[in-house]
Amino acid sequence: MKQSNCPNPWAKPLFFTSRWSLIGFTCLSLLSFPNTIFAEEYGNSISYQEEIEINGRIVNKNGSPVAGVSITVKGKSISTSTNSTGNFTLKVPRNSVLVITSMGYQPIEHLVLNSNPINLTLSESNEELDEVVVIGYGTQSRKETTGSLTSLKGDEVANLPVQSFDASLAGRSSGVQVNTSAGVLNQAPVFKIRGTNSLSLSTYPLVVIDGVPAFNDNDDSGPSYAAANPLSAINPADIESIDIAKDAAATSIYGSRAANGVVFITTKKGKRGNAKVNYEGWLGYTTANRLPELLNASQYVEIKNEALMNDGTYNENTNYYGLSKDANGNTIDTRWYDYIYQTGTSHSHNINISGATEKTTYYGSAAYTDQQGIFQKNGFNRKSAMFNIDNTTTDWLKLGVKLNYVNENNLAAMATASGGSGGFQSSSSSGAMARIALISAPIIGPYNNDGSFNVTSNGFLGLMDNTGHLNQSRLGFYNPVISLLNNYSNNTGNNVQSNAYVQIKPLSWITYKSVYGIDYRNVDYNNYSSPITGEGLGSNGSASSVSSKRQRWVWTNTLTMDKNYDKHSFNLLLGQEQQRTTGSMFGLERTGQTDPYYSNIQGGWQNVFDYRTDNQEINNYLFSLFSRFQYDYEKKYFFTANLRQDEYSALGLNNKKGVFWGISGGWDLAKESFWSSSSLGQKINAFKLRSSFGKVGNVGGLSDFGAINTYSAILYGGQPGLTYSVTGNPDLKWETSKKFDVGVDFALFNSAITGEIGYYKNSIDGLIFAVPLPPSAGVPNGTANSILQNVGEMFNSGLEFTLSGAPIKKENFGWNSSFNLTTNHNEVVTLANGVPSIISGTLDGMTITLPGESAGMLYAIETAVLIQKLAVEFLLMVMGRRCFINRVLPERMM
Amino acid sequence: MANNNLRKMKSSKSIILCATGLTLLFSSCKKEEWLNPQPKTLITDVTAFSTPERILSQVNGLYASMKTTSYLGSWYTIISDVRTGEFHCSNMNAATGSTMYSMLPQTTTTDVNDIWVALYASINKINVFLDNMDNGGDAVLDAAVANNYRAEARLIRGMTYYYLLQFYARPYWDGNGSKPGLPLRLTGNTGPGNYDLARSSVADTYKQVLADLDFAEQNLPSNYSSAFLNTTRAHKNSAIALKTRVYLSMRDYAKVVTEANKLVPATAPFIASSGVGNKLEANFADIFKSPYSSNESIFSMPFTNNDAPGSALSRYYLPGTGDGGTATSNGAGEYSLNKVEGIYSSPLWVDSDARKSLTKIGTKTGKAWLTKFNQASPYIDYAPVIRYSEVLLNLSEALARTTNTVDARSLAFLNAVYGRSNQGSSLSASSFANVNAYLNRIIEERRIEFVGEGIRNGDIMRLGLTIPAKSQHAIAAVPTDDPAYILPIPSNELILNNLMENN
Repeated sequence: MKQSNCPNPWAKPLFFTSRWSLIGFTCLSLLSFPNTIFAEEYGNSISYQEEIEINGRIVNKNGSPVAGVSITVKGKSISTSTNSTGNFTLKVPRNSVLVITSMGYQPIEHLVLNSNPINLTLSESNEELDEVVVIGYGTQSRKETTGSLTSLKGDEVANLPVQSFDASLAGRSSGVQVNTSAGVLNQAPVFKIRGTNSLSLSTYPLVVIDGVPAFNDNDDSGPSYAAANPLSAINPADIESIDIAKDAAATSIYGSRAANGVVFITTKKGKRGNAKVNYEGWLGYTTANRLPELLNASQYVEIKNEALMNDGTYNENTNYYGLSKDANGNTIDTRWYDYIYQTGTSHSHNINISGATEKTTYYGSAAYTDQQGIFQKNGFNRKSAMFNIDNTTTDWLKLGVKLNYVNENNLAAMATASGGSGGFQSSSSSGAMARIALISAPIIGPYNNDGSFNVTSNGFLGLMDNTGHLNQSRLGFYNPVISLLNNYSNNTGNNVQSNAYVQIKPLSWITYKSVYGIDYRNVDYNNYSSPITGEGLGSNGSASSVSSKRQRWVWTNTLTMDKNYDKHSFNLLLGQEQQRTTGSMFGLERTGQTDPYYSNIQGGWQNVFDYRTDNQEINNYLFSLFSRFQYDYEKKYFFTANLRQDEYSALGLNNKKGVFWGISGGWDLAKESFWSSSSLGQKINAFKLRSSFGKVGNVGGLSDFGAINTYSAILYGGQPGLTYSVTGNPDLKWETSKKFDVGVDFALFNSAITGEIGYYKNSIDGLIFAVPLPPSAGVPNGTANSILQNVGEMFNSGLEFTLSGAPIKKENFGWNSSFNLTTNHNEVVTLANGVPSIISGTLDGMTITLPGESAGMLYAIETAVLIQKLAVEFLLMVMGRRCFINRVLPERMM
Repeated sequence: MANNNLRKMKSSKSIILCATGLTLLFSSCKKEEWLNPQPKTLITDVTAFSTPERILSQVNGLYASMKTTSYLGSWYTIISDVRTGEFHCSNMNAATGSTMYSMLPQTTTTDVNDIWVALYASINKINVFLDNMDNGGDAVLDAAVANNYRAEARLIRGMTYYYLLQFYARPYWDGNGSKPGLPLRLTGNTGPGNYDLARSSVADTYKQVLADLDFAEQNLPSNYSSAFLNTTRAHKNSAIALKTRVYLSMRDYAKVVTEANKLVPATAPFIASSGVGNKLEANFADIFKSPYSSNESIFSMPFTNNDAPGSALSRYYLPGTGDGGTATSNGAGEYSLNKVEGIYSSPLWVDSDARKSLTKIGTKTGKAWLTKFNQASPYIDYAPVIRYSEVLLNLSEALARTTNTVDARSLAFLNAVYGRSNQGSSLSASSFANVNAYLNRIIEERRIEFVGEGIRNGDIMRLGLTIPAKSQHAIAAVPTDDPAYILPIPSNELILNNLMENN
């Protein structure tokens, strides 16, 4: 990986201004109007005071100039910032107080008595505990938070060869579990915060990008072999920070969606100073590693013949495995890995321009990445553009707009067998690449000696020289070379994530903010299976296309009141939020290719079918009222309470409304005089106890109309039909999570080492799951014979430990390291009445959930005891797609 | 001036705040509508019975539930044949039925579960439909039409219980119906609840099957407006025809005769005298060709491009293009005709038999393929449920058994079926050593006539025959007392229905 990261020396303010005005004209003409009018009027109204021109220079402890430092006159809207040499000039009223702030430094105030040069030295702030964290509808100093939050800088994930930011979070925070998949590009990772918090609904955290909850159903692969993660719609290089909220204190403001934790993504904004142009890029290679070593041709023949002998069907004339010869008379010994896997080359380029004037900050970026996976023909490319602008129009009005457009292409030719999207990626399908790589016989090759493909009439790998003396019809599943050469299965996503806000301060302590955001995601799926491939043989070639459209808008209105009385600080947030998501899916399949030339849905075909259109309508709505009250005394004792009422359309008629809450408190012991005066206090410079308790919910993954009884259209020999298809439950309500958390944040040796120790317990009741009924009850549903009900209890508890240090901290070189450790205990307490266990999964893996045990366990076969039985079952498993091992034995493996 | 500006500022702020307030107010107008969205692609239970057309659509939906993948569209049919030794499995792939072919069904076998689930899903849809009709859903219908629809629903339910019995219960002859039958579900299930229900006896289950079919016979229309509807929707003759099959399975031969006589006149030509004039089609191959609606096809499952079968007969039985399949007639070649134990090798099935011309020898493998269902993808050949020739052979067999002789009328029916495919030749009574030899000949004729149509398993069950071995795959014969003779009850039923017993 290579990377360059350099501020552009030639960028001049003029360059920035012209660029800004161009964009301002096109999208922000409304904003420029109040900017000029009000600013001038306000400027005039204060002109009676005597002004003096001051200048000065701001340096750090080492005497180096600090650029971009904000210098504001206290109580006024007069401000400037330092240039690259640390110098500034400003006209201010005499006797003004300057407030000098800069990220990473402690703020200072300076009284202006005369116009002499003002030279000031900034001292660095304690990095960890002084940072600002995103807490949902606001931000807060980390020192004041009472919740469990992990913050990551965007730069930590920007340069990893991933397709979406979530894939890069593994190991970066305690309590956060991220498992990325087996090398399939843009497949959503398993992303869990503090254990498995649901059995049937989503366990994915809520992802909020700049205040707008993103589509994070975490698998948008749909009807294509190429995986797609909706979170790839944000370029990791555009991310300023990622804040992961884990406990009730931090998440309960998100009420019904908070049970799995909340991840706040804040995109980059311009920073005070001249325009900076920044290029980042990387180049990387990916190869499959740790592939199992397989038998070579002669070993294969030996073992397979032994198997025939054990089976009693070996015959040295009519039924045995033998080697095949190629055209040159050499023994064929095929390494199928070479036909399935590849060394993927990936590169990424990101260019951005950012800066800020006194009133306006801006950030714009354009990026392109093109990535190849370890599977042949598996690819990903993305073009993205983002623009963020914020304008402080007057001292009481602030406006901003974000626009993010992403075009992404996920490419594949065959199923990769990565699991995750049903039949399309099943590891047991005949065209699953990972499976073909393992089980195709090395004694045959993809081509016959005459150069034609080695393929049976079913599209499988043929016997080659074994023809005539082996009682088998094939020596593998589909011939992958034909499929990889001819087929494709791609999806193309176009995403627009945008928001605009207006912020009004009618009084200095009241802020009203209205944010309107959209997230539009349109995905087109296009598949083609050639009639000469195993996939397309049965239908004489097929092409299918599906168009999926989802549109979400979120409108948030908040009123924040901030008031300090002496040593008491109060903050009250009142808010209302609406989120509506609509969408639909439409598709066609065509079969019977009329000429080999055609390879898309528009070509020449004999038949046309509807495809994946059934009931694919998206329509849900969430209406919320929420409030947060924060109080602290001397920044020593903290108290926060959150309250949220959500109403969600997909829930049962009788239970659409739910109320959620969280309370939390903190005590910063290091602020106590007894602490700071003690010898321990000399070493431990920060020590904050915090605890929280709250009730939040989960509705992620609920079907929009799953709570009502519905009939769907069906045909009977072309005649119109209607069939009872979904059994709802009018009492269906939220899954309820009660979260308890206690922890301590500390800093040692003047913050050289910081850390966090915490304990949590998350008790979930009213678990929603599709309670299985006897199949003979015949209750129709997506999962037949089950009805979504709120039953069952489960809990997660664990300890989290994080230690971060900066052993070396020099001006030009720093070394930070962080270590975290998490334990999690998951236990199902009860399941539904009459349901002793839930066995779920597909042929790719069945799991069992039992009361008193962790969710989703595997039963393993007792191999030592039943070796002969096992052989039969193993054979069934290898040869059969729908078969699974029948014996369930009480030997558990985690 | 300063004050002026201040006022301007204040008023701007008020305007913005007011505008925001108004928009908030507006948005909450839509709140109730958005919180209770009506699906555009689904019809809720509130309006499912609001128009006559919609209720008719529901009736079609009940039939559609019968032709789902795991039922007559056509996995049930395929499994009914491939376990009987008539077929040879090409790929020994459990995904395509090899576990059932190998006679290794277990409670967790996917096929054991899927068939049970699909058939009971159909039963519940019918029960829900009937409940709703009785609770005012029929208000928009004429009483007669409402009863037609009820009769159609009950015919499907009766047949579904009959089909379940053939797989999941011991044959009627074993203990004269006293063995465990099925949990009889007769009311609709639409919500959470306790669904424990014990199995009724085989006899009681058959009793319910017949109650449904009797009701159907009384209340079904005699015929419909088109040959298509006469083939795809139940009419009086359909109910009668199915009853001949049910009574045959119960070995109640007198009743078979009674029922079949309603459809078969005493003397040739054999054409049903009432309702749809069901009769034998002159040319055997024409039965299986578009439009599939000859009068011989008393009841068939129709398919079109947009409701193609999930597991198509033609896909399973036709060879691929590499082995004799043509561009318009090819399949996946999953099962060929068993040349060792199957009827294909029987000397009785001569090459000149018209039915033999609906088979084909693979150009590459030499396997024998059944081409009765002959369309390539999307495999929309209709799946026969019951044909007039079965009624004739049911009657023929019942007459021979009730008279215990090579009954002349019985022989006439056998010859009608045999002679249709062997023009100019007939079987004579003198060629049979005794009545048993004659009965065996009827059974063999059934095998030839119905191969691939899912009849054979029911015949083996009712006759108490051993399921033949499949020597090419070293699969042993399964005698009647072997647990694998019938299927086990699926594990989910055993776990979740506390009153359920396994076979």
